[in-house]
Amino acid sequence: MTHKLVKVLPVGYNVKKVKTALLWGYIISAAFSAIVYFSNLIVNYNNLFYYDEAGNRLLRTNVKMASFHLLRERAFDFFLIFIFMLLVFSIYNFIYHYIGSKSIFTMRRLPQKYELIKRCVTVPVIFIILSFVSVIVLNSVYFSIYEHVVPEVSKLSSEEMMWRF
Amino acid sequence: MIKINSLTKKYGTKTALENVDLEFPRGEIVGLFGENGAGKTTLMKCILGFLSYKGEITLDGEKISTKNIEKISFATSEHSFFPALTAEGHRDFYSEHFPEFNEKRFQGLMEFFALPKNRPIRTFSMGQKNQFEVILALSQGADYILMDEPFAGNDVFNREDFYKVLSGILEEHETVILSTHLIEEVSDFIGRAVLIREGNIISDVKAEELEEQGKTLISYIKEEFNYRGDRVSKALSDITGEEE
Repeated sequence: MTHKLVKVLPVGYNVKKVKTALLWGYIISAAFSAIVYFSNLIVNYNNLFYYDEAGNRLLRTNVKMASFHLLRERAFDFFLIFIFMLLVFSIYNFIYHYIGSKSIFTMRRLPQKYELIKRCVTVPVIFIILSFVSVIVLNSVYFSIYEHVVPEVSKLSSEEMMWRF
Repeated sequence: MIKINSLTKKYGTKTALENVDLEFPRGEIVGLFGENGAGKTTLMKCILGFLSYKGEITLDGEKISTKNIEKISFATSEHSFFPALTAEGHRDFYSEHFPEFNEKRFQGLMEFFALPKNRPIRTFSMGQKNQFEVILALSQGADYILMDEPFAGNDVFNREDFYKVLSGILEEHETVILSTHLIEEVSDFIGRAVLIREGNIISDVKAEELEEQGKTLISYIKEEFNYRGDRVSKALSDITGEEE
């Protein structure tokens, strides 16, 4: 992977460092998303129950579970930050060609017309797409977990959901 | 041949080049002379396509584009190497992107100037950076080598070495267009002098013509630029109040 990345990053970049930073950015975004969602889900889910005098865990029929939208409200914030950082990274990749020398002159006179753009935007775009896909996949997974875990009686009706959304 | 027809370049309202007509045939070593801001760098940047302009610039009859840009190389005092990359890394990059890259010349020049091959270029001294910049331009495999003040910051011995090496290694089909203020140093090296003043070509003369006229390059340039030899003594006299 490192060998392939060398071809799509600005010349002279420390590819290992970039790869590590990007992977950590992605992992932290995904981990933050899961932590936020599941902690919201667990807290709200536990609120649906109470314990009687005998210590039995019983469902409160008069309490409704928070809507799915509310539970995942801040779950994807780190992905948004990560995407923003990737856009900044892409701009920096262009600026890099003016730091310490004007290597932009070399890049602009290459016989390969799109080499500069390729090296500046490919990696950020790949990770932006990966982030969007991950948000969609994680959202679907979270929703199916919500549907599976929350008792039917505790779910908001679609009308209530609309008002609380 | 690089042919420039009616080239005009303006920065806002300021005219940097006005109606320039020039030809650079293969095999010439051309000196481009003029004061700071005369338009030398702008001319080179127009040839390379870095700037938009009015007029026409062709290379061997064709417009300069990605199809033929590899025939032109560029060494600049601003530097165009990748500071974080080693010399070996540059060699790999250039040989990958420039099909005519001259590996033998690159290695030969690296050894001649005793430049380290495995250190990032940013760790080089200014003189070494300039040397490396020119090595890349000479090794690219280009037919037209544009050099914009390439020796700024080099000591005189370094520069002399360079002129000797340049005259020794250049092949018949290679053209060098050299912009510099070090007129006396390059006078034995160049075959033609183009003088630019305020965006206009004021003179274009061959070394043989100067020889026939019994003029040196520096005296010719001073003459063309109406250099007033007495201006220093006059200024000193004005400042000190003493008679000359």
